[in-house]
Amino acid sequence: MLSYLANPLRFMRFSRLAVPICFALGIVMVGWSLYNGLLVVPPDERQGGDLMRAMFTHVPSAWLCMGLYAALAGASFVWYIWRHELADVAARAIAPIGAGYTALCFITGSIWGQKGWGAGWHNLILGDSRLMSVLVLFFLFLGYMALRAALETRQKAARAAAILAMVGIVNVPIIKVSVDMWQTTTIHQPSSVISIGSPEPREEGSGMNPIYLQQLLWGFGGHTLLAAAMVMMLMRSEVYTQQGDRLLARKLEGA
Amino acid sequence: MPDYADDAIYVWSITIIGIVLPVLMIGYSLLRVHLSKARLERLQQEEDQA
Repeated sequence: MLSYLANPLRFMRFSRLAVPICFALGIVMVGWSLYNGLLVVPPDERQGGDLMRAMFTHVPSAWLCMGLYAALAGASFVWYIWRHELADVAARAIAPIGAGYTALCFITGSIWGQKGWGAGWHNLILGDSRLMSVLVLFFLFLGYMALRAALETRQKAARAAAILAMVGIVNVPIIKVSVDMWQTTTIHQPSSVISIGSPEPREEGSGMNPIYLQQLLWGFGGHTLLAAAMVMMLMRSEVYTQQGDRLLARKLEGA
Repeated sequence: MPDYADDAIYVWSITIIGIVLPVLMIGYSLLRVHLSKARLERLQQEEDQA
């Protein structure tokens, strides 16, 4: 599938159909998740009563910002090894969307923390391993975009940015394990869905109730489709820009 | 509308931001693709005329 779409012409044909489908399904899934999360499921007293309804926005954005960074690093790796131009186009398109979802995760987490912990993330960030590692992720996305804009040729910018993206992937597992392995350095709650490297065995029944998990998965699936549609649109924009640049170069050569 | 008591302001503000920010990103993507397509069409038109 990926090698089939690696041809820009095939990608443009595929994305023309895929973008509206992803948008429509994404909106329906996010809407369904929010409807159930806000109006249908009962409050969870273990997670602060009604306040836990914030997780149907915050948690999908947190999962997605890590997923988008992994996709950015993957696309950069493909470009770096095989020099496939469409992989570079994809990496360039993923960065602003990843930065947006990381900002969403941060802002919503800050508001939730204001009530849940009695302090917003902006007051805690320097001493907390989860918050600090997410902040680093945000700066990695911004750094990637800044590096691409700063270097004079496209090849140089792509190579430097790809190296940054590949090195930065080390931060994604750090974000994931920060709440399980270094519980003394964070006030963020431990992972509720998949716990990796927790020093304490999990109590029976302490995992997430399936009625909440279901809504989270609908939200995550919906936001993933929306992000995919946005990335494909930005990729289409980049392909148009490159075609325009080639036309312009031909025109200048002929003049 | 459900009554979330003291939590209402937090729950609704998070939900609204969770809708507004993706909508802004969608708008940004649409604008970028529209502008680059318009530029390409203009350049193609200029080349056809030349």
